[in-house]
Amino acid sequence: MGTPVKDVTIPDSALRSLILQKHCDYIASYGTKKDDYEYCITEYLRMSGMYWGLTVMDMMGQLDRMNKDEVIQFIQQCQHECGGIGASVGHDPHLLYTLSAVQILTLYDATDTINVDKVVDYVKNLQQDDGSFYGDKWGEVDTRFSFCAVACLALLKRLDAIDIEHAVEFVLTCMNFDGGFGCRPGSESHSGQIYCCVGMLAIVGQLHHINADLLGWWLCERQLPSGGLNGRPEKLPDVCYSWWVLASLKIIGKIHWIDKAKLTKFILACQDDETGGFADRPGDMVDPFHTLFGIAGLSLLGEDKIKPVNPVFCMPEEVIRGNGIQLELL
Amino acid sequence: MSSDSRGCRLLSDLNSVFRKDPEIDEYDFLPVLEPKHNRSPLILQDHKLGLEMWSVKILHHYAYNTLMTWRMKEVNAKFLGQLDLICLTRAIVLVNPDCSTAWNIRKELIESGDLSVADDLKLGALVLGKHPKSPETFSHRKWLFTTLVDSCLANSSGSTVSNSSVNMYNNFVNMDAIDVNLDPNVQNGFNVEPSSKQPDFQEHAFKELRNCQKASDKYPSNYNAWSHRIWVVKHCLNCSLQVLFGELHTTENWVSKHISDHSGFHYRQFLLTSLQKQSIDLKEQFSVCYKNLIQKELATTIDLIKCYEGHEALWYHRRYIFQNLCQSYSAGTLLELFHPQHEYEDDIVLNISQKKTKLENERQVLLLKEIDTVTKSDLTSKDKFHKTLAQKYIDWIQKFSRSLES
Repeated sequence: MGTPVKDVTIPDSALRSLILQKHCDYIASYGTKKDDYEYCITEYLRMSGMYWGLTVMDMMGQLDRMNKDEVIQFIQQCQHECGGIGASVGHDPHLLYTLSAVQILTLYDATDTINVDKVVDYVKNLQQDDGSFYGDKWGEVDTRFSFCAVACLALLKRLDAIDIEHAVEFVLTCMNFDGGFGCRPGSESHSGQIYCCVGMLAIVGQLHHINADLLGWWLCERQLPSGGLNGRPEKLPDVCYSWWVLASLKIIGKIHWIDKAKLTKFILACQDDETGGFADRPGDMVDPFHTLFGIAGLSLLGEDKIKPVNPVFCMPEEVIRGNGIQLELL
Repeated sequence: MSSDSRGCRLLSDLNSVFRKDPEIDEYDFLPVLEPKHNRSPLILQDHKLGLEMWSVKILHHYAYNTLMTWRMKEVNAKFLGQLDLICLTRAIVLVNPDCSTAWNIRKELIESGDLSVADDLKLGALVLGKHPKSPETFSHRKWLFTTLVDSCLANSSGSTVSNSSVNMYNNFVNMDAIDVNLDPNVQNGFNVEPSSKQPDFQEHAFKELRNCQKASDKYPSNYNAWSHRIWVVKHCLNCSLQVLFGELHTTENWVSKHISDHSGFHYRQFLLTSLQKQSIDLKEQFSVCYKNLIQKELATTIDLIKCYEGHEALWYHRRYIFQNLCQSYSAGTLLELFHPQHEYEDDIVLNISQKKTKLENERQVLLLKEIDTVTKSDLTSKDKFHKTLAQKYIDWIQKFSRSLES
C-alpha cells in the first residue's frame, strides 16, 4: 500500500467566507505590545513585517488606520550611510529590507523622504560581474536578491543603474530541467525562488526566456487534493505558496490551469475567526505574513472585496499603475 | 530581582558553561516554564546543554538589548569589549539564529582577528543542531568558508594562484583509483592528511558536508541545507570527480531511506549533472562511462518506486533521469560527430543527418520503453495515487519528448 498524500483535511467547521474586518483589526493591533518576546525576536525582519501589514491594509482599503508619519520616520532611521536599509534601527542594511522599505514608501507615495540616489548606489554596488546580486556586503548570492534589486529599482524608476543583460543571464543559469528556478545555479526548483525569478524577468521584459508550458505544469502540480498549494514536491500546502505559485502562474498566463474554487476554499479555511488573520494551514497560529499572502491570493482569485493585486510586486495594482509602471505578462 | 540583572546573571552562567565545556555539541530548551528552585536554569551533561524555557526569553532579551544599544551607539550604551561582543552574539544566535546583525558582528570580530573562523564554524554547527533550517546560519557559514579559502590562498606561497580553491585540490584530484571507499566519513579513503600548506581546509569542507547531512536528517526537504551542500561541493571542493563520486555513494543509501525527500534526490541530480559535464575526464581518468551511471540511477529509482508506491519525489527524480538520458544521447551523438574515430568506428560512414535520425530513434526507443514499463507495472497498481503519479509521469515524458522534436 502506498502512503497517503501529504496534505491536510479541511474541517467541516472551517470558515467559508471572508471575515475582512477582523483581518483589518488583527493587523491594526499587531505590534502594539512592543515588549512582547515574539515582537523582539522578529525585529530582525521588522521592515518586511511592516510591508506585509501595510500592504494588506491597503488592499483591504484601510491603510489610513496606520500611522504614516511614524512609519516614514522609522524607515528614515533605518537607512545607513551606504544607502542600504536595515530591518530595524541598529540592524545592518540588506537588499531584502531595502526592497520592503521602498515598497512601503511607494504605497505612501513618499519615496522622496529618503535618499533615493544612495539607495540606487547601494543596489548597483551589490551587482557582481556574472550579473548576480549579493544580499549585502558580506556576499551571499541568491536569486531572491536579483528580484529585490530589480523590483526596488523599478519602483524608483532607476532600472538603468544596473547591468540588466547580465542580471537576466544569471537568473537564467538558475533554471532547471523542470522549467523551475532555484536560489543559485544547480539548486532545486522552489516556488518562492520561481516567483522571484519569474517576477524579475517580468519587470525587465524578458519573460520569453521562460518555458511557460513546462513551468506551468510544475506549478500546477503543486495543488493538492485539499485545494491548497505546496512549494515543492511532497511538502504540505501553505497559504504563502498559494501566493507564490498563483502569482507565478498569473505572470506566465497559466492561472486557469489550477482549480480556483478549491484553492479559494483552502485559503478561506486558514482564517482564524476569533483573532482574525490567516495561518499557513487550517487551525494553525495566524501571522501578518500569511495574512498578506492569503489576502493577495484571494485577490488574484477574483475576490471583489479586496483591491486587485499586482502579481509581480505584491502591491495594489492601482499603486503600481499610479507609478506609471507597465508590465507585460504572458 | 529585576529582569535585567537576572539576564546579566544568565549570560554569565552561559559563558561559564561554555568555558567549562568547550565541546558542547548539542543544546535545547527544556519545557520548564517557571523557575522552580534556586539553581541555575542551565544544565550541562555529557556535552549537552539544556536551558529551562523561562530563562531563554530573559537571556535573549538582555543580550539583544545590550548588544543593540551598543550597536546604535546610544548615549547610555555600555562599553563592550571584544569578549563581551563574542558572548552576547553567541547568546543571541543560540536563541534566534536568523538575527543576521549578530552574525555580522561576529564577522567583524573575525576580520579584526578577535575571533577564529574555526570557533565560529563550531558555534554555527551547534546552532544548526537546534535550528537545522536557519538561513542566516548557512549564509554566515558561506562567508566563513570564503574567508577560509582566501586566507589559505594568501598563506600559500604562490602569487600565481588564480582563483578559488582549484589549486588546493590538486593533491587529491590526482588519486588514480576510484574503487576505494569514497564516503567522506571515511577520510582515509581520500588521503586527506592535513598537508603543511593547507592545514584544515579540506577537513573543514568535508566536515561541512556531514553537517549538511545532519541538518537534512533533522528536517525533511531542508532546502537551505541541501543548497548549502551544493555550494560547498562547488565552491570549496571545486566539483572534483572524487568528491562528486563520494557524495553520490554516500547519498545513495540516504535517499533510499528518505524516499519523500525531493531535496535529497535533487542533490543527486546536481551530482549527476556535474559528473556529466566532466564525462570525458570521467572516461579517461576512471574508465567510467556516464551513461552507465545514469542507467544505474534509473534502475535504482525504478526499484524504489516499486517498493514505495505513491511518492512524488521518486517520480520527479525519474523525470530528471529520463530527460538526462535523452540529453546524454544527444551529447553522445555530438561527440561522435566531432570525434568519429573515438569509439564508434562502425558508424563512421553515417553522415550527420543519419546520425540525427539515429539519435531521434534512440530517444523514441527510450520513450516507448519507459511508457511500456510504467504501463505494465505502475498503471496496474491498486493504489489510486500511485496510478495518478505514473500517468502524470507518462504525460510529462511524452510532452518533454515532443518539445525536443520541435
